[in-house]
Amino acid sequence: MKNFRGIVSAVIAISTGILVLVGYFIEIPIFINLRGILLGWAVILAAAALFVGIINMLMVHSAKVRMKQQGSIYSLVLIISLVITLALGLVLGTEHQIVNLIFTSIQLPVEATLLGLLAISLAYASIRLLRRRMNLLSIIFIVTALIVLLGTVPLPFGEIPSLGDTIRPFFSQVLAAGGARGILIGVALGALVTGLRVLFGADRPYGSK
Amino acid sequence: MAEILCPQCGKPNPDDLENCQFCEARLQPSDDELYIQPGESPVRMNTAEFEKTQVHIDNEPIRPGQLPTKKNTSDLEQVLPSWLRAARGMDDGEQPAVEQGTSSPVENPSTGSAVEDSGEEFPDWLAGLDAEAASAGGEEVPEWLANLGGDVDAGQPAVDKTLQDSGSFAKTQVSKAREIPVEPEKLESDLPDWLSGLKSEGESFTETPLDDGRTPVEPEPLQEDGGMPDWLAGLKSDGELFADAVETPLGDVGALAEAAPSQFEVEGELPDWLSGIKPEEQILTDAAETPLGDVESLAGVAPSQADGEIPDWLTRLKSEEQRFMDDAGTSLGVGVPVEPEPALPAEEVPGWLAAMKPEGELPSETSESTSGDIPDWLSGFQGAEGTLAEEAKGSQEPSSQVEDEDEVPDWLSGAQPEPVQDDLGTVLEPSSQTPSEQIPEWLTGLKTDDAGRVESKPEDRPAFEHEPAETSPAEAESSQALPDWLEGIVPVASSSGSRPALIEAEESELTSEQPEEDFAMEMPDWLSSLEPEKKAAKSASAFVPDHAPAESLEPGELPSWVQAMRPVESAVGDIKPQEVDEQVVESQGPLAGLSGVLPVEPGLGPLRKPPAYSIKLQTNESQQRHAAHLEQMVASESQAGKVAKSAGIFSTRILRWVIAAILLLAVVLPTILGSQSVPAFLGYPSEMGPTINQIDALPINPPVLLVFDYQPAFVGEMNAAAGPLIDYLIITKGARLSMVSTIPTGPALAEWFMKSTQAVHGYQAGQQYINLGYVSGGTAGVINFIQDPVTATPVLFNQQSVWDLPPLEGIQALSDFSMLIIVTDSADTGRVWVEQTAQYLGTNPPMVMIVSAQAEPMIRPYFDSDQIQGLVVGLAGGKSLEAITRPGLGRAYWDAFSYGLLVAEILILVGGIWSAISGIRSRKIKLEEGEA
Repeated sequence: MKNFRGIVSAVIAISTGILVLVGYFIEIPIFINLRGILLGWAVILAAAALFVGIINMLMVHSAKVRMKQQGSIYSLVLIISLVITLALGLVLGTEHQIVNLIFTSIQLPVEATLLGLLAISLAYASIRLLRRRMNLLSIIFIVTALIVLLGTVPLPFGEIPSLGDTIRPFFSQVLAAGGARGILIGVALGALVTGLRVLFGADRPYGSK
Repeated sequence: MAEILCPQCGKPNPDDLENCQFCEARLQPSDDELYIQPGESPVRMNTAEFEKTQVHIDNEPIRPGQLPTKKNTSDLEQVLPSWLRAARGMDDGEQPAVEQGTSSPVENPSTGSAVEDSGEEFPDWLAGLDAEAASAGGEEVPEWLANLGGDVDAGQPAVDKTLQDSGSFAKTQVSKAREIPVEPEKLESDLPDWLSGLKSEGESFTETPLDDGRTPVEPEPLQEDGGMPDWLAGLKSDGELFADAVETPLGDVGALAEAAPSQFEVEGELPDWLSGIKPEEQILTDAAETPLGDVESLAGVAPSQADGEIPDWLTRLKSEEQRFMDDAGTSLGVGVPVEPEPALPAEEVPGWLAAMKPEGELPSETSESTSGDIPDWLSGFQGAEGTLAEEAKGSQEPSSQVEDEDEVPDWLSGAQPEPVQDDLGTVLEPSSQTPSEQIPEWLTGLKTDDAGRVESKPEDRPAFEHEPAETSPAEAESSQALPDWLEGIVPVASSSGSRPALIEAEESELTSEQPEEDFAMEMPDWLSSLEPEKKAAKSASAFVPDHAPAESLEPGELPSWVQAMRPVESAVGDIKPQEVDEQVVESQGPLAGLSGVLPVEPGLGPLRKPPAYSIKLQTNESQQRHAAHLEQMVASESQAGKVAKSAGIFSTRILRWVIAAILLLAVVLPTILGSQSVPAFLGYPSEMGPTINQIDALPINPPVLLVFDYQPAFVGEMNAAAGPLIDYLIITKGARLSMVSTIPTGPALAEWFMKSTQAVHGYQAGQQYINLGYVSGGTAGVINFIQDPVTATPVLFNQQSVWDLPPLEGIQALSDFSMLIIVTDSADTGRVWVEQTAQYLGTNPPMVMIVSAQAEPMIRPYFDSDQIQGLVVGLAGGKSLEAITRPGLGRAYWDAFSYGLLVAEILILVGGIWSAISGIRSRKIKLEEGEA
């Protein structure tokens, strides 16, 4: 039974991928229409998955509150916040002022504060980097970071010559971009191979062996 | 008909009887008792009884004066052999009194006392021998016993008469002796001269009773049994040896010289030379008063003997007397000094008489006996037992003996006084010592009391038990029957203890100095081990086995006579304690507790229990150590390694707070103060021009699609970067904006963007701009929206159709939009929109991306490849666009941004240098500590 289920899921996944891929290369109305239908189904499934995730989160945190585990108070706050926001959004709408106020007064400052702490942590880590790991790469990293930072914005006492228009652009547009391009190519190739593995049935991320 | 001794009562019974006729005990064990039947369970015996008699045994040797430990061994009767049990039974008085005249007990060699009256039970040590003899049958007859046959033929009393009920062994010996025809003449030829002379003289003394005041035992006519001289045959056991007159031909005396006179009841008269022996005290007194050599004046000496009737041997002794008198302080091989003798004519007082000690002087007290009152051959009796230790130490006596050997007759030269053997408890303690005279062993074994008489053996005492202190009174009584010539013999309590029956080679030194060539004859153990009673008593009590045997018969349970056979400390005085400990102590059998016992098989040594091998793994210390290390290694694999706690965690937290405070100040203060001291860039970014050109190329009121795909955390930077461009678009073109997002918070961010940065323009939702909401599905949703945006977002949240609203008028496809502006903080999102729209849109509509500074490296290639037509990067890009529009958030954030970056740069630079230096120093310290 398990083998049959695995075979069926593999058949579905592979056939779907081939149809969508064929629809990209062969502009036949049937394939185009079929590709459109399958993509619509993927979008719906993605939305449903999001909804399932929310339900799963509620169940986990509810169990944590029910078992009175450590940190269950935070789970309770999460559940209450979720319920209130969901209720207000369903009732008042997403464009309502209260809903927007909750978003702009709570979520935006919280996330912005967390990003601000990241800046302090990165500064502290940069200070302690040479104490923990004293090698050439660490020194290069620190020097590069300083150059980029100095070239990002002019200093209060004035702009450092060639730093903002030559050195920093070289680091960001040549060295960094070159590395980025290589990463992008690798990512693209990796994505291509992953897709082909799924089409060939070598990888089955849908759970069957 | 053969006889069997009853194992219970020890009495002889005919062998055809199954039960004893006296006590009805079974004479022979049944087959069932002998053999274990198949399937039969072993007989359980309560060994607790054996433990009762267990004694605390230490390893200390026997001390002089130490009494033997008397234990109740009645519980062990069953495990004892029959012969031993019989001996014990006789010793415990189980046997009825011996019939008069027929059961004269054998003299107890251990006590050395004379045999008591008839009716005295046969000594158990000898009775036991009877059992062996009965079973053995043809036991070899010693020579001394064989020679007794001739004496009997010569008219000796029925010596065996005394042994009829005393023990079959002795009787057997005697009976065998009877069988050997021994002619007196032959015996006489083999005897030494002095004994031969005694024979001729003894005939006249046969009728002389002993002056002991006791009723002499009527001598019986000689029969075919044994040739025991009368004077020897009259020797009784238990102190009555010399109580009666002995009728013994003197010619047989030599043959009986090696025999223990205690075994035979002395009947008849003693020869004059023996009967003339007075108590020691008397002799000493007479010797003091009588000139030397005046034998006739000595009391107890028959006047008829005084005049010209002195035996030649006695006369010769007189000549030696003077010389022996000078050997004061020498012992007869036993270290007993000799007291100076009184001045008597040498021709009148024999040396042996003059050397006889007073009665009151015991060898134990002095351990030195005078040698001037009694004959040397008698004086050796006293000194032998008490001076074993001195003899072992190599006393002067050997030398003195050697010196005197030249003058001592041959027949006396070999009779060196030997240590008195107290194993049998029979000791003859001469009152004085004669260094070089040879004393017959049978006389050496005779033990005398204080009166010089042979001591008697108590009835209740085992054959080999010696209790000198206890038996002294009894001995005193029994000694009354001793002849005069033995009265002077004073028992000497040896301080050195009894001579052990089993003597090691080292102990043989004690006897090696006393050659006995002339009198070296095979003697039974019981006869050769005659020891003074006191000495034997002390040794027996002092001897303690090394350990308590685990077997049933423990040393403490042995009878005293066995205990007396143990080596004493005095006898092994020269032996070092470690030597004594090296001796194997028998732990099993009837000889348990005895040391020096020969092994069962020669060469094997003492038997021991087989070693018990442990079933545990035998490992040495090194192996155990290795195993422990291996175990630790294996155990450490499953254990998480401990992470060393970094020192200075408090300083780390403080440093972090300090950094945060500095950065906050650097950022907050310029913002609050509204500082604008930091100049802008002198130039513009390179991507700014193309971006402006794309906006300028749009028509008036173009529909523009805005994609808000950035996180709420980047709202500050993104609003500062996207505000100026949107503001320029609205100001110059009055564009209609449509906003969509592929993240759940996108629509909210779009609304916030419009209200915070574009409020000045007064755009209204549904009129100038429309928010299409969230498009799910990630990349698929993007593709779906790109292919058919109307289908992807048909209605609003309120179910109102959006594609009919003024912002989306005339829009049916994505290509109907005039420009796509992607606002994102992630390079992946931007890449997805670029890659997906390029297939369907190409370069129409143009795509402009507003990205965060962190995504610039990943997005710029697309700008450089002209896949996107415009690019605005972070706060700096927005600040640059504000130069052509109006000041906005860029300007407000520029100084704080500059100062913040400057402080961060300073902190990184300074902190990096400081960390590098501290790191180098710490590593150097660790290296130095590691080297140390």
